[in-house]
Amino acid sequence: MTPVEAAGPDAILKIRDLRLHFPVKAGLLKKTVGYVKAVDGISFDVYAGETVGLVGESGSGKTTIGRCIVRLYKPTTGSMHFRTGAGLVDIAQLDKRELQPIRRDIQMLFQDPNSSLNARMRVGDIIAEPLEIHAIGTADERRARVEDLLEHVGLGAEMYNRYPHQLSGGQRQRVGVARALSIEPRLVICDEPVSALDVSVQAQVLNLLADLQEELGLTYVFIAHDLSVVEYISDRVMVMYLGKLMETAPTRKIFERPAHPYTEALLNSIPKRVRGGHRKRFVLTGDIPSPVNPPAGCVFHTRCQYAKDICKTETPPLRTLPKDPYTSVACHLVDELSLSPYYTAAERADLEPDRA
Amino acid sequence: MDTVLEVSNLKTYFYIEQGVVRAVDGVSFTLQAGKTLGIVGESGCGKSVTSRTIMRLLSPSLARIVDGSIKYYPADGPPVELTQVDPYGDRIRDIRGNEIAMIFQEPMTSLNPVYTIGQQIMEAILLHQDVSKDEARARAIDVLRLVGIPLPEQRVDQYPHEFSGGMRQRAMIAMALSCNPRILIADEPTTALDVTIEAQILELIQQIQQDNDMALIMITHDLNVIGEVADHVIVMYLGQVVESAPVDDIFDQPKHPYTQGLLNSLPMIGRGDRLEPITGSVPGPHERPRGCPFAPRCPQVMDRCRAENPPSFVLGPASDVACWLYEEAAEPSHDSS
Repeated sequence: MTPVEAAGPDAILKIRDLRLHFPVKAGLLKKTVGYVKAVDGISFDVYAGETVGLVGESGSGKTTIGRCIVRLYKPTTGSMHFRTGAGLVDIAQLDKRELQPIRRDIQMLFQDPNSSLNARMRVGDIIAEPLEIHAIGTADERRARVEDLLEHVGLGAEMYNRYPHQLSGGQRQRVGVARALSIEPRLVICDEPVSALDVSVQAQVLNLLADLQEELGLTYVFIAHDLSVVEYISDRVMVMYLGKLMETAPTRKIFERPAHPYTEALLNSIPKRVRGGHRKRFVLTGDIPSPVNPPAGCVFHTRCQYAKDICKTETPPLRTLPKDPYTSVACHLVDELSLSPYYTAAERADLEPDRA
Repeated sequence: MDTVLEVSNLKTYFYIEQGVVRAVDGVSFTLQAGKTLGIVGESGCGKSVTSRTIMRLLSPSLARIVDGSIKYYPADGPPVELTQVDPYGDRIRDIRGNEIAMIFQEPMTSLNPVYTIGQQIMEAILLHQDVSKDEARARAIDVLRLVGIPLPEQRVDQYPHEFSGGMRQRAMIAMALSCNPRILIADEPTTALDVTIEAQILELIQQIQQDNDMALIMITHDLNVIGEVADHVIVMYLGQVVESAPVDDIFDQPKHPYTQGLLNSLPMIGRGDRLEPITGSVPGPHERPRGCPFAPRCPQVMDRCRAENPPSFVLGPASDVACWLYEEAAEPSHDSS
């Protein structure tokens, strides 16, 4: 079994050995010829009130995990215990009817506000829909609640009768936020919520999410490919690669002292400014391998510059570091390597002398 | 230093049913061989229309160049005024894809799905260079190898759908580089890609730039990319250049309130401060404000800004800013000096 962080009393979600394998079918009889191992044995806890950032390249399985948690997908195996009023409930295999009360507590915020809002519905009706589905309040109460939500996300109650096409991208994502929050969830899965937005609007939505979290005590699982956004919003970061967790650590630690070679590679791929000319980039070669036929041993060994023989044959378990109980790493070489951070202290001091 | 392109006071307007859209409204910059100009701005700022105007890719029935000039300096021969050439004529065809090449944002939609990668690269080579089909094919394989596509002899006969996203973007770059252009315009070349692939593509572009002394125009909304690759930056807002300065000045001493707002909106790793977003959002093409285009969102707005659009004030040898706050600090304009 994969050791995981000790589950404190305030963990609201405990995921153990989660797997989702999509069958690949081929031929006349649609025989299953293989599986896409989108999520392949992942365990972690989510604590009340925190923001967990989930990062990795496309194909790493981060979106699939998010969709498993909101149960848009049913996991193949593994458990997902969610804390409800009646204690911990495993939601991994619940059916539609059993999920109904849980869905009030777990909501999702989608990437593309253009395609995730029904173009034929008015803004107010879009936000009220979850309230209707869960039969919350009378029609008048629902309307009052929606107007209140519109004010809360910075849109104003006068937006109630607008249609999505009359709004800007940032306003639409605010509608998405209001809809996700309408039934007062405790856990919100944010799947690339700002990646379709302009920089100035992205900052507005990030601040809105941070303010709402503080005010309402929300817990976020924040999925994004933009590491600077993840760094800004997350308390803790989980780095994924080919359906597996490579490293999980507090945000600052991840960026200042990465412990997994893949984390190092990701950090060093982020564009950065170095005073007086251009830096020499550290470039990870090749593409992410196919999840149908993931490499044997450590899934990252084909692109890892430090890989040794053991990495090609044995899969490293995710282990908590003895000297750092908040960091878990899946790498055979964790004790031998000394990896580079995003910015070295010298580069940082050179760029921002007043901060060093 | 060799100037290869000089754009001054360029204005491209779209004439559509709903009225006139002033997509590019007075853009000026100079591009030097071997250097990188970054054009940064949010959606609707006119950065892509600027590049398409330079390439003369816009339909004259829709988009008109109403003012300004685009002077291209070929390796030999007199300068060419690109605003005056026939967009369907031979002169622009000689230049486009040959001397000035472009990489588009979406490699999926800008590659033709029914032709092999090789055929698409060979098309550009055969059009511009007097070579046989076999030579063109050999050259196509060479450029695919140059951009780091494994097994180029086999890949050359594959279709775009057989390539991954990063490889498609490499193929686009191979196509753009097949004729050794003097200017490469990269319009959001890494926007749809993962950071790891983005790093590969940026490294590749810069490598080729150094080897060939190529001038690069990098168009992006991503200030982090600009900070890494650009030598000089122009910041655009609603069709206008609001600030133009060397890259370190843009980040260390941004002058225009819009540049300052963009930087304060940008999550930067290790900074830790709360983001200070610009209020509001970019107005639509038909809601263009009077006076300074940024006035409705500007934290330092004055009465004058709402009435009069500021001209570009010169702050240094390579720094201009279009903002009334700098009227007194300004030097006489570049033109009169």
